[in-house]
Amino acid sequence: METFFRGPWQVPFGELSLKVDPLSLVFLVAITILVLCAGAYGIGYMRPYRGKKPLGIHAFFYGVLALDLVLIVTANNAILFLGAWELMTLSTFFCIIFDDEKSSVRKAGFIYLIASHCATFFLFLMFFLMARAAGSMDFDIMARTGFSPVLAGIVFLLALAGFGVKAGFLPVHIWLPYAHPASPSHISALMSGITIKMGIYGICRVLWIMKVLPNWCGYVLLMIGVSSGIMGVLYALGQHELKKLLAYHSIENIGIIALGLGVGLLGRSHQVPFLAVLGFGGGLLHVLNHSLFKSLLFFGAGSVIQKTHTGEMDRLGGLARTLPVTSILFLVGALSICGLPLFNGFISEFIIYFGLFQGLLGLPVQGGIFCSLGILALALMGALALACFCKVYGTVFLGKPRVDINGPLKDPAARQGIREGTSRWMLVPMMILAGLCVWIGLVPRTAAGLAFRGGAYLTHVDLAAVPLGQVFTPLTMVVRIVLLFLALVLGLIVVRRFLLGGTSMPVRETWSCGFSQVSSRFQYTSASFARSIVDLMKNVLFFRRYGGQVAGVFPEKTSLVSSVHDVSEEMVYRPGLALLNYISEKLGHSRIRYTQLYLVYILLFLIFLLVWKLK
Amino acid sequence: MMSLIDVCCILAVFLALTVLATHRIVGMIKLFALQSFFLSLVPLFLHAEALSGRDLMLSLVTMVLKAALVPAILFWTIRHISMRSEIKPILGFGASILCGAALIAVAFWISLSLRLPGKLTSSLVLPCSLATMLLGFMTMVTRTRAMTQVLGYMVIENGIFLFALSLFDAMPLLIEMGILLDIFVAVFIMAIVLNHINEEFERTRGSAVSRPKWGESQ
Repeated sequence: METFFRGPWQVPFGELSLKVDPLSLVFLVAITILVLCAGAYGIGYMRPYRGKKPLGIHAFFYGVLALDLVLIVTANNAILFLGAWELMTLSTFFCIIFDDEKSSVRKAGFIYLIASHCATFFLFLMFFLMARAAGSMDFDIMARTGFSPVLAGIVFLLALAGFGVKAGFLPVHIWLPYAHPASPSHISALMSGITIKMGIYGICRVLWIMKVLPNWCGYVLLMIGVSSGIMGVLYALGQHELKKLLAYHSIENIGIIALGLGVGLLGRSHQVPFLAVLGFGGGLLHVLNHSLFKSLLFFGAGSVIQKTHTGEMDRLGGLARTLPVTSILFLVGALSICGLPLFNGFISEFIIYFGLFQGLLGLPVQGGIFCSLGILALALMGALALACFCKVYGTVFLGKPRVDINGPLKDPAARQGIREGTSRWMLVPMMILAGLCVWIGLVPRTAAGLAFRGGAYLTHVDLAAVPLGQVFTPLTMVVRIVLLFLALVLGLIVVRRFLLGGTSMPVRETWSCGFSQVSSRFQYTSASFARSIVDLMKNVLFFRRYGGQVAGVFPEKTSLVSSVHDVSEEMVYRPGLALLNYISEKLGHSRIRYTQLYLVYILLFLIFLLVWKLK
Repeated sequence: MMSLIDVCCILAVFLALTVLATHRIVGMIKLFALQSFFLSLVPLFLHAEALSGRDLMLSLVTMVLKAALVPAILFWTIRHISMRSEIKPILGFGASILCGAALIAVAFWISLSLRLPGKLTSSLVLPCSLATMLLGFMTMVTRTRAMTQVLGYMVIENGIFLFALSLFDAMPLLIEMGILLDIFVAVFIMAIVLNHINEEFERTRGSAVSRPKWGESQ
């Protein structure tokens, strides 16, 4: 089950101790697939920059990042883990700011760096608390220690705060929507696919070390999952930028993963091993699945951006004609992320659903209430994700190019376009990922088995003792029925062809609605597509709309601007920062010179320390 | 012997207090030279039974370096960059003396519970060294000119030297490292001369207008 490597290392309390166990195996598989695919994609994606920018630096930090990811999931020592963690933060930062001549990119990079470093503070605190109780910095020795319930609760909360920032849980997610659009597409894919999963890995590792956690921890994790999931997908609906939208979807999927882990934790603390394995296994499988389909989607977005030089959805359209292969591969990713059967997203969400229903039956009353809440939330997330990706695919790939909007597609060469024209270096990784998505969707045994082994390892039970057949039977049944339905539809198409014979149906403009002079402006924009849902949710969303009302028989020219703002950013961080600025400004207005003021602070602190430690 | 060390220690604190209350740079340098001279005598009285070569060497090097070389460089600097000799301290004469007295009290109070490895040669060494350090720090706080900052730093450094002497036998090489610190100070002063920092360190404060907004980098 576990393989160890121990080497000498001249660092106090540190040990070069590596371990591979079923938990890290799940993450290692995802890392290996993703690092290879994103690297190959990056070769194609970075080709236009060749000779203009120092690509060697970027490649170096990419390599460091890949190494650190492996080191994080195999580290068996807290100091080693923290070192690798910090190195990952730094190398990701340098990968993000590839386009560092743009101020928005620098800003995004700094937000990421600050958020990550604040989070690491909690991690240091957490590991030191654990190490103090266990008497060692090694994870396997910590795991053999019994922690007091109060300490376990504190460590759990610190883990949520520290790892949650990296993972992107709801109130602390604000770096995600900035960093993803700013970085090159393969880096966004790697970040969304793996780097944020390192937060999940950290939480899993803490759950594994803390064998006994108080009951409320499971509920907290479940509720974090529910809120991150729903709010993430709602924010995603309101976005107009392709990669920013995908970034918010990462928050949603992290919410689903947290939901799964929460169910598992509930099962473990209530001594229902089957439920625990289902929850943990579903969560871990979703880690793997999400890293596959989300990087596929980011790769697709990267191809679109490379072709059109914009990610604004309201300027794109009709790309299914110019980028046929990319559009099909993007569709595979979109179907997977919506959790539709035959694709991998469905498998993990089904397992989590199954776990939630098991919890409804097997847990005490309050557990049942929370599980039913989880079922409702998961259903809502699935439906909203479907709406969101209808919007994305409809505005970006279907319809007509929005030629009469001042967009980059205005020039006829790009509009007519050479078909596809995407480099093979970019297409092949996407095909591999799409193939894996379909493979897991159709034959889930291998991947699910891997995840369930991880789940059983987290639950500290033997996998053979868990009746997993109960999950796989209905799962394969659903897949079979959907396949039959698909065959039926295909059969009907064949019948239609047969009946129509050679007569071709007239082709009309999309969205023409009876007009004779059709403009591409008639099409639904991303905002108008999402408006009905966003309007419904305007009590929880920060939705702003300016103008856009027409009046009279012959209305004047009018314009409409709408945007959805992040509540935690607008209501928490900005006012908090304004308050901090205000306080520091007041403190700054002192008559003493600055250097002297700092010296006074140092002197007072020195005296305080001496008095405090010696008296 | 013991009483001589005590006299040196008390003189060091007294001179540090005088430096704090003096407003003329030339006077401050002279007082500092005097303090360094008394401190460089302390190694001679450390071991009552015999005078070791190390003691003698240490005393000699310190005397040359601190009581002669550094003040000479400082005087040369003043002539070289034609510095105005009057200075405007942030705290006045009376307030400085009062603050200094309070700091000395704090130093004595703290040193009551400070446990050190090794036997102390005199019970006054520890509180006096702490008091000298704090007074030097206070000098840095209340003066604004680059030159006075250096002087305050060197008074702190003298305090550290005295502190290291109390650990003379317990911790080898501590004083030797202190001498390295002296050489660093000499280099520091040279930098002041070379860069013509004749008034004060630049104020590193941006105006409120250019303050970046949230998340924006400058």
